[in-house]
Amino acid sequence: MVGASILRLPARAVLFVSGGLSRFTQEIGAMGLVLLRTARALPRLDPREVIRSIVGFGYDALLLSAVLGVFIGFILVLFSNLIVARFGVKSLFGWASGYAVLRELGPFVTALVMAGRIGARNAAELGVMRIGGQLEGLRGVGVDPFALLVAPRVIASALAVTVLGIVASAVAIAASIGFGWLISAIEPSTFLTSFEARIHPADLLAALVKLLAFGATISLVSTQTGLRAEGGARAVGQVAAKAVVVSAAVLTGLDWLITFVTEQVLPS
Amino acid sequence: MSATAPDSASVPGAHRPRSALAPIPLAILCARAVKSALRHGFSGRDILRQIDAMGTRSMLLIAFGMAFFGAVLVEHGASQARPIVGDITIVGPAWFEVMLRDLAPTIAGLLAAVRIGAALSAEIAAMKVSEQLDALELCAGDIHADIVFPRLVAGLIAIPALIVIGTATAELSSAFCALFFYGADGGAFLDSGLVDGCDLFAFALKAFGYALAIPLAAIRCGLDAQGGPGGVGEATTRGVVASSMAVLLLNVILGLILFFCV
Repeated sequence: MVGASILRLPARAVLFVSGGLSRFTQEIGAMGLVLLRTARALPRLDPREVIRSIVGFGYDALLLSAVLGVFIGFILVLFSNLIVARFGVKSLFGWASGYAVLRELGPFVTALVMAGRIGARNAAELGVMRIGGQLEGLRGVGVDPFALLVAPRVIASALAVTVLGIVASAVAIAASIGFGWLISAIEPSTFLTSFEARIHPADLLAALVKLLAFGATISLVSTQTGLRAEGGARAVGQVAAKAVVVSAAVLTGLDWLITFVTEQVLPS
Repeated sequence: MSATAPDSASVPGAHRPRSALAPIPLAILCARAVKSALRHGFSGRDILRQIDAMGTRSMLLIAFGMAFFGAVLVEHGASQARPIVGDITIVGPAWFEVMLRDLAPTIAGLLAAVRIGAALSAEIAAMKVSEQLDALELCAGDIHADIVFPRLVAGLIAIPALIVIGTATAELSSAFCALFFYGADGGAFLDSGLVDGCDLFAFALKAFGYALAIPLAAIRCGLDAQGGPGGVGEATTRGVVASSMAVLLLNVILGLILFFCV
């Protein structure tokens, strides 16, 4: 019994790996299709639908991103407080926290939460349309559902994540000035001096590159997941959950890759 | 199992709350789950099954994500510290301490919140809108004892374990990156010389705080679902956001408490 199952192990490993690879290829292919069809639908985009989606994804989450910014600022001050205490480098605090917000925590933490707020919502809404047969219905009356309903969402959600990330990062820097003053007793003027002296446009550009990439990831992953919903109410929940989890996994890997590239191309 | 338990007549979430993170309703939900489980009994098998669903199936995401996160942080740390200190080996022990008490549990908790919050709220919302929860009540079941309690207990066991695994992967991967990419002494990044009881206490407090908050917020959003498939999607979105914001909010609250009291 045990011997037989041990003998079966290599075969199982091969199946596991090949199954994972083929699923991975499928996801990448589906995301590519969404991207291509969105690009093709660009000239025929309905501006009203784009604005509606931007309000739904972006404007409604503005307060969330501001709160998120405060939390990120706090994480950062706790984190730097120990470093400042250990090495006594108060004068570098502004630079250190600005750098950490712009290059890492701002884009990454915002993207993780927005994968929930925007990605899950996008996937769920598309899933509802898909299982309700609304997309097929549009095709039946001769309207391309992709140009009308899907492409505006792809663009709006990518844009919303980027803009909300910028808002959250700005609030995070303001919050770290405030918390740094309260907790680590660092004067705002000390903060601003080193912030101004050492934060370069390259850091802002790195933040923007990360946010654009994360926004595109969240939007493509959630769109393709939502469009593949099958079944009833349970399927809607499942695609929403899957969109978040896949986005989170892709985001962590992508974060590493972009950091690796931007540290070479855009050194501070 | 009594058919007419006094509190089983009112389905929670009949009134729609404005905030999913209001502390008092969450405390009431938690207390009701414990009370009902003590009164009606609970199934250990269910708890094990939930530990598997929450813990085992999230392990890969957490380990993978935290390994990348540790590597990213070393890259940033190196490019920040190198111009100042030259060799980044000397920041190793402080790095280990900061990761252990602040960054690693919170980011691992955030990843756990994303994974578990989405799964739990989607599952419970689907049960709610397809009237399975009502059916359970009609069969003399009790949703607090049969649905909520096993998930809360499983969360309290699985999530701290996930956070420990995530922290360990992040520390190992940052030591590995420091050693191979930046030529520092990797062992310094695993040096626990600066870690004291206070850091371990902060770590444990955060791990168990997140473990309680994530399933509670997600279950609450799931139970509040209304309507058809759209309601399930809405509840899932709310569940993910509520559980990840719960992690970040707890981080702020616990951080302030630890800063001013310990």
